[in-house]
Amino acid sequence: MLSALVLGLAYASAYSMLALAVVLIYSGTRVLSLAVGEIGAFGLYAGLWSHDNGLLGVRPPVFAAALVAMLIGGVLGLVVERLVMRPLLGRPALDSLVATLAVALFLALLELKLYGLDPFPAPSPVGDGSVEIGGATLTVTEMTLLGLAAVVALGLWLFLTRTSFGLATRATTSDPTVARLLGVPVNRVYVFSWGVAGLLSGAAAALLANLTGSLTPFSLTSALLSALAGAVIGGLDSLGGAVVGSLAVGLVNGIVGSRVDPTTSAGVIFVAVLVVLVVRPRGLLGSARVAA
Amino acid sequence: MTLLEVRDLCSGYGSLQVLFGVSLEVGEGEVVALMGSNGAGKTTTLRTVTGLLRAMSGTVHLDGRPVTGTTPERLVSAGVVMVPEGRGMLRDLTVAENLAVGAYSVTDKLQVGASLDRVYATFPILHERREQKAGTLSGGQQQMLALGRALMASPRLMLVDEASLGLSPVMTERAFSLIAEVNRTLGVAVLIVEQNVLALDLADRAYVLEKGQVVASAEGDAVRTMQGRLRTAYLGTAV
Repeated sequence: MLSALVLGLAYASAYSMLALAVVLIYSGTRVLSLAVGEIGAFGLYAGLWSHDNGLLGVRPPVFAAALVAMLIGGVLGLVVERLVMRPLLGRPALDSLVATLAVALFLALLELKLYGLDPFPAPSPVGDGSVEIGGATLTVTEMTLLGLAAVVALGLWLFLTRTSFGLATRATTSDPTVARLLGVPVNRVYVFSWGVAGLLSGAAAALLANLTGSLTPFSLTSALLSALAGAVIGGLDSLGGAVVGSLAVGLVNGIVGSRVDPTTSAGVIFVAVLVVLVVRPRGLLGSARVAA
Repeated sequence: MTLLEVRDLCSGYGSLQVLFGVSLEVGEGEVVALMGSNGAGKTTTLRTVTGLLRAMSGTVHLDGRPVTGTTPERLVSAGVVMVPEGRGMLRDLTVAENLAVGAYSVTDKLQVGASLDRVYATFPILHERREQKAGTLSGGQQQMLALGRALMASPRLMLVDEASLGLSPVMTERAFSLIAEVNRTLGVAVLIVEQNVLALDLADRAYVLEKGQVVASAEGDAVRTMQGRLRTAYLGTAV
């Protein structure tokens, strides 16, 4: 039971990174971004590739792959906002949604072209060790991931609650028009949100690839679907909701997935999404505007 | 001296034109009322002046300098801040955080501290509730927060969009007297956009907007005469 719980939490932490990325973008711009999975995956591919093949004559250690993934993910997020999303501001939500899907497909196909369809090995930076606690086996990787996810979430929370630009970001997610009228440079918040979303996406890619041991094109986009389920359950414009919803999804994945089977757990999750949409469309912690 | 001058403003949404040559002025320290019924173009006027909407033609000048087509952010730095319709609460943020966002454009920390002291002195209830989420305040308290938050930017001109919306008659009267007090004690000029004829009690000057055009204007004592006329005419006799 304990090992299923930890595995579930490890998945949950990766989903919550992706869900936070989705919510960060959605609450500011009302754009549902389907690109935030593949953006990080693209970054992680580059990181793993440079670990295997060296970069400028240096072979970065495998833990650096995660940092490279976050860095490239962040830069890619900025680029996508400026080149694709900014021109679409104020257009119908469907236009933006399709644009983010196009970005995801483009990146996935580029990964396919550059690295092939075979799973790209993602060795764990902390090795394959495991410890036994109360009769359950916990891998060092899982536990490291949990710690890492906690650090990232804490960092994001500190930024949002302790810095002036974090306050501007929360004001924009609360009501972009009012924030503008009070002097908040919302365009800068948008570009920054995409940057942070890319960063989170890179972190999520690294977490998930370490759990599964490899990386394939579209793998992060399929994980994004679970994260979206978490975001919808928690409330699409609530950062706290993103974490709570993703925890629920991850735990169901871990426990039902290992006790029964993965198909059942996916079924349970998406039934939960439907129930939330019908009974409480704003999600557990979302504001009334989500349902409007 | 003229603080804000709007000249022949035409504006609208896409191909739908709403304003057809609106002209108005707000002097330094003045309270000006822009009256009109629903759909007359009041909010469109404010949205165009602040730069949320692009003007089709016409000009907006602040202190004689053109600010047509500016952005809301830049206008706030220039000393013009809007109190949005429905009070524009950032509901998930606390009272103190709402006030901090109001001061976002101000870089001088000392000035922000002084503004905060002044707002808390003017509205003690906001100090009491400072850690509470803005969404949990009553309508009247939200109106105080909306005004206080606008004051955090140390504005010279406040644009107040339908302060009376959704408030009871008693609270409306209180909101108007708060606006009058802010104007009197701090010398902030106010452009108040309303359908409620009580707003004319505060006004040094008034304009009536109908179908996107200014159809009447008055100054000084003539504002009182206008009030009587509007009360019985198309604005209805409510209140």
